[in-house]
Amino acid sequence: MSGNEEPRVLGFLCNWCAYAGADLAGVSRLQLPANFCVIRTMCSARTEPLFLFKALLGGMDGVLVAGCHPGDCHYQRGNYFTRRRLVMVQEILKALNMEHERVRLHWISASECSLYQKVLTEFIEDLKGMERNVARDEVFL
Amino acid sequence: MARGADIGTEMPKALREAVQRLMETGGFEGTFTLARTPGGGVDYFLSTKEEGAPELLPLHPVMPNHAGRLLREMTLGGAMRGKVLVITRPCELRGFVEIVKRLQGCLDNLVFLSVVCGGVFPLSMVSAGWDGKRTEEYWAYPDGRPVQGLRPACQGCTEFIPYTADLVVAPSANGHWALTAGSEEGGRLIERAFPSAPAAEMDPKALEAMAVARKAGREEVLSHEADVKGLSDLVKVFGRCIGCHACSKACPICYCTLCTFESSRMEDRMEQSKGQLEVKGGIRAPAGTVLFHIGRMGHMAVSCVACGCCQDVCPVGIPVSLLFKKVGEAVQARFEYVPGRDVKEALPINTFQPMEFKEVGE
Amino acid sequence: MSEAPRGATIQSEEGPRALVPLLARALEKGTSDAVLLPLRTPGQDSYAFVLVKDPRLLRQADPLPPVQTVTGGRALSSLTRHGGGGVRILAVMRPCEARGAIELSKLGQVDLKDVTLITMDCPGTVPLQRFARGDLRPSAVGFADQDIRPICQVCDLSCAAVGDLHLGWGEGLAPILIPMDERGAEALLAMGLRAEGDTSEWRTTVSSRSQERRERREERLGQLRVASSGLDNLMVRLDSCINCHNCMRACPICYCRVCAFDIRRQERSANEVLDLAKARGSMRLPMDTLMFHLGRMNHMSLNCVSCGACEDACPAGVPIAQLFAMVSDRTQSAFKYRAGMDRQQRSPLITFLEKELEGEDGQRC
Repeated sequence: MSGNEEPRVLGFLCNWCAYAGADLAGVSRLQLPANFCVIRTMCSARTEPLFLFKALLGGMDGVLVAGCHPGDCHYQRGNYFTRRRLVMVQEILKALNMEHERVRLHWISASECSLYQKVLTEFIEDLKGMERNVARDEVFL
Repeated sequence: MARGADIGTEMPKALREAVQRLMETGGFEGTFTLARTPGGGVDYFLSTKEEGAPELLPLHPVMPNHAGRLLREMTLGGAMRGKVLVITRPCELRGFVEIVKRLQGCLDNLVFLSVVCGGVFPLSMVSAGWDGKRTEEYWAYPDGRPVQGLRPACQGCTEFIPYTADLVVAPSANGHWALTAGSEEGGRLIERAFPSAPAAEMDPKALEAMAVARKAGREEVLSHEADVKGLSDLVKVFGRCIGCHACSKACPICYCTLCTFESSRMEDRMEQSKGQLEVKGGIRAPAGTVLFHIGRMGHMAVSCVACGCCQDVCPVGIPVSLLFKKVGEAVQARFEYVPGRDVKEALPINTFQPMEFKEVGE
Repeated sequence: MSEAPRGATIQSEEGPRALVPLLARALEKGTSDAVLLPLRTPGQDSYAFVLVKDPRLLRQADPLPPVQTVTGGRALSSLTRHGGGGVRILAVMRPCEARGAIELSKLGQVDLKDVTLITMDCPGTVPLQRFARGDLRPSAVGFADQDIRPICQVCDLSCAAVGDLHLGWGEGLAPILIPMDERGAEALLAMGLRAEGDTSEWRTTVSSRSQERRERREERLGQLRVASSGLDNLMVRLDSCINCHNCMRACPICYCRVCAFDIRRQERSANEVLDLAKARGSMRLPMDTLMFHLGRMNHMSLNCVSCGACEDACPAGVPIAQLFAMVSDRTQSAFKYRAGMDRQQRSPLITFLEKELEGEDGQRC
C-alpha cells in the first residue's frame, strides 16, 4: 500500500475460542493493531461466504475468520464446515484471479493470545505489501 | 453395461420411434419430453395419451427450460404417483440429482432416458426461426467434428455422458445408434420394447473422439470471455448486467423462493449509501451487481452442472455460463466432486473429513 | 394552462449532453447533493445509472443513452425505497422512466420528497439485445430513427414534460430547459440559468411529434389487437414464452420481492400435474404461462408506462411490451388515467366515486 496508509481488516471471531483469545490479548495488554474491526459470531461456521464477499467488495483490505482448533468446536463440528467453506471461497477467488490472500482462516484457542497477536500482525504486514483493495473506490460494483 | 438395442441410423426419427415403443411397452403413466408447441416452438410437455398429443421432439437440440427445474417444481411436494418416462439431456439430469440432494425434488417413479449429448443450440435460435436442416446436421453421426453454432457451454462440455440415466441413446458401430441400458430397469425396458432388435453397444471410439473435441472446445471457450483478471475485469464484464436475475431464475440449482439478493436485507438504505457516496463520489443504482454474481457462485458453484441456461436467458449476452463453469470446475475439483454423479454422494459443503485441508487454518 | 411556461435556451449543439456541465454547476453550487443519471460502464459497452456526487464522474455521463438498460424508476427506487434520507437528488431520465418513478412513488416504492426529476424529449431507444450483441452501436439516436424499438415507435408520450425540469431539443430546435414547477425553477437557478425564453416553438414541435405517434399507436396496437384477439391467438403471441418471469423482474412497476406467480409455480404436486395431463392428454410445462401474463396485466396494467423494459429483457422474443401497451391503454382510459402523468391523481383502484363509470361503461360494469 502506498505511503503510510493502513490496511483495513475485518475479523469474524468465534465466541468460544478466537474472541476469547482476543479478549485475553487485550487483558494481557499485548500490542495489537488498531485498524482491525471485529464481528463476534457464536461459531466460525456462522460466517457465510456471502459475508466474506460483501466485506471484500465493501472495500476491506483483509478478512480474517478465526475459530476453535479442529476437534475443539463448541458445537462439535462447526469449524470443519467453516474450513470447507473457506476452501470454496478461496477457489472462487482464485478462479476469478481475485486476491484470495485477502481472506484468511486461523484456528486460535481461548488461551492463545500471543498467537492472536502474531496472526493479526502478520496479516496486516502482508496486506501492507499488497495494493489497496480496488473495491474501495469502485463506483460500478 | 447391460445389452443395448440397435435403433438404426435415421436420427432423430429412430429416436422418436424408440420412444414410441418404450411408451407402448413400458407401462408408463406419462412421458416428459420436448414437444412442438401450438405456435410452432418447442417446450417441455407431460404427455399421457397418444391421440391429440403434440408432436414429440425428444432431445430436440435446444433447452427452453432446464428439465431439472421443471421436475423440481413438480416433485417438490412429493413423488410422482405413477411411473413417468423422463427424456432429458445429461446436464438436466445431473442438475435434478443435485436438487434432489438439496431435498427439493424426488427421483421416485421417474425413469430417465438420456443421451450421449451433442450439445444444444442457443435459445435465441428458436425465437429467430428454426431451420429444419439444422436438426439433420445435428444428428449426423458424431465423428468428433463439432456442430457449428452450439452454445459455448456445450462446446466446452466434457460431461456429455449421463451418469444415472436408465436408458442412454448413444452412437454405436458403423453409423448406427443404440439404445443402451444404464440400469437394470433400463435393461428390462429395452428387452420388452425391442425383443428382436439386433444387440448394439456404445462405440468407445466415437466417445473418445467426442471427448477429444470437447476438451479442445473447453480450452477454447474458457480462454476468452471467461478469462477475467481480478475485480476490474469483473466490473467490466458485469458492467452491462441489468440486474434482472434471469440467470438465477433459469438456474437448476438456485431454488430459493426468495433469493437472498432480492430480499430486504440486500436493499440499500440511504443512510449507508450516503457514506459510500462520500467515499467513492458515486454509487451504481441499483448497487450490488458484482456481489450478486460472486455471491451466487458461493451459493451454487459446488453444484453447477454448466448447463448454460443462465447464458441462454441473459438479455445482454454476458458470458455467465462460462464464468460459472470456470469457477464451478475449480471448486468441484478441489473437493473431487462431480455434481449429479450419484444421488448418494453428499454435497461438499454438507460434509467433511476431520483430517482434510490441513493447510487451511494453520 | 393559465400561462405558457418560459424556458432557458442553451447555446449548444450537443442536445441532452448540454445538461452535463449544468448539472456539474448545480452540484458545485451545493443546492443539490447528488445527481442520478446514466454513465458509460467501465467496459464502454453499456450504460448504468449512477448516483454521482463527485462532478469528475460526470465525464462519463450520457443523459440520454441510445439504449435503456435499467429503467430510471427502478434505479431511483433502489436508492429511496426505504426513504430518501434527506439527500437532495437531481434525477435525470427519460419521460417514461420518470413516469415509472412517479407511479412507484404512488406505490410507496420511491421517495420523491427531495428528488428533482429532470426529463427530456426522447427519440426512443434501440433494442437492448441488439445493442448488447453489438449489431447497433450508434452514438446517439435521432428522432427519425428506424432502428428504435417497436414500443418507442408508438410512444406518444416521448416528449411528455413530467419532470420538474424538462429539456426540449431535437432537429431544428435549440435545447431549451423549461421549469414545470417551483422545484424545477430552483434547479434551473442553481444551474445559473433564467427561464426567459419563449417555448412556443418547442410546444409546436412536440405537439406534431406526439400527434404522429398517437396515430401510429392507434394503428399498430389496433393491428396487434386483431392479431391477438381470442385465447388461441393470444396463445400464439405468447408461444415462445418460457415462463422465466424476466418481464416482471425488469418491469419498474412490479416491485414485489416475491411475485405471487413465482409461488404459484411451486404449489402444485406431481400427482396434480399428472392428473391434469391425463385429463387433457398432455400438458405444457411450466404451466400457467397465460395465467402469469393475464395476472400481471391485472396487477400492473393500470400503472404501465410502456417503457418496454419487459420486451428488452425477454430472452424468447415475445412482443410483451406491445401486448401490455395494448391492454393498458384500454384499462387506463377506462379510468381516465394515464400512468405517471399526474402526480396528484390517485391510482385508480385505490380510489372511487359513488357515481362513476356510467354511460358507455354502464354495460361493462
